[in-house]
Amino acid sequence: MKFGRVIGNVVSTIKYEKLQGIRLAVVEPLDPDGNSIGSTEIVGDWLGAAVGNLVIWIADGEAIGTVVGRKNVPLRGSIVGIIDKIDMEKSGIVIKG
Amino acid sequence: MVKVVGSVTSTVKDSSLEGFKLLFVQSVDLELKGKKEYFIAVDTVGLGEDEIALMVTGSTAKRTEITSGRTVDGTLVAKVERIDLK
Repeated sequence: MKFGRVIGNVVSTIKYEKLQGIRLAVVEPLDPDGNSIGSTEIVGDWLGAAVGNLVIWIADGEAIGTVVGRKNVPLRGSIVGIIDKIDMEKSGIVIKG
Repeated sequence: MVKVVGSVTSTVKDSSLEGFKLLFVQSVDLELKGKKEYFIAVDTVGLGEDEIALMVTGSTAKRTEITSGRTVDGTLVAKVERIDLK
């Protein structure tokens, strides 16, 4: 899974029917120092991750379908966890969500 | 191949991730030099910080007993002790 921060929401009224009701969040991959690495992605969210939250997301086309109870939802990424903290004992860093 | 750099605490998560030990890992090359790629992966072998592991991704990540049928796309399946190159 990938690690990063929610940096925004996508507003889309006109969309494919199987995407109706699914919140779309913009996420940015980060390194442990909080620097952006790689491209931002748009992913589904059903956990209620707010802008600013550190999150875990998955690139698995089936993940969102299992939760919303629909098959073949055309969305690959989805948030599967909101991070409280990451302990990095050897480097003495604690990343807080 | 990845290096374990931290452990993840997450209270609010998909029920499919309940009970897993989630580790923060960094991709490394054959000299064990870190790359600018970080992931969160499920630990199946009992790894600690600074240890090197094999991570499987995509649907292959679900091919262990504990990750089968779960919303997982990164699983640590082996601890790397040594690599011999000729």
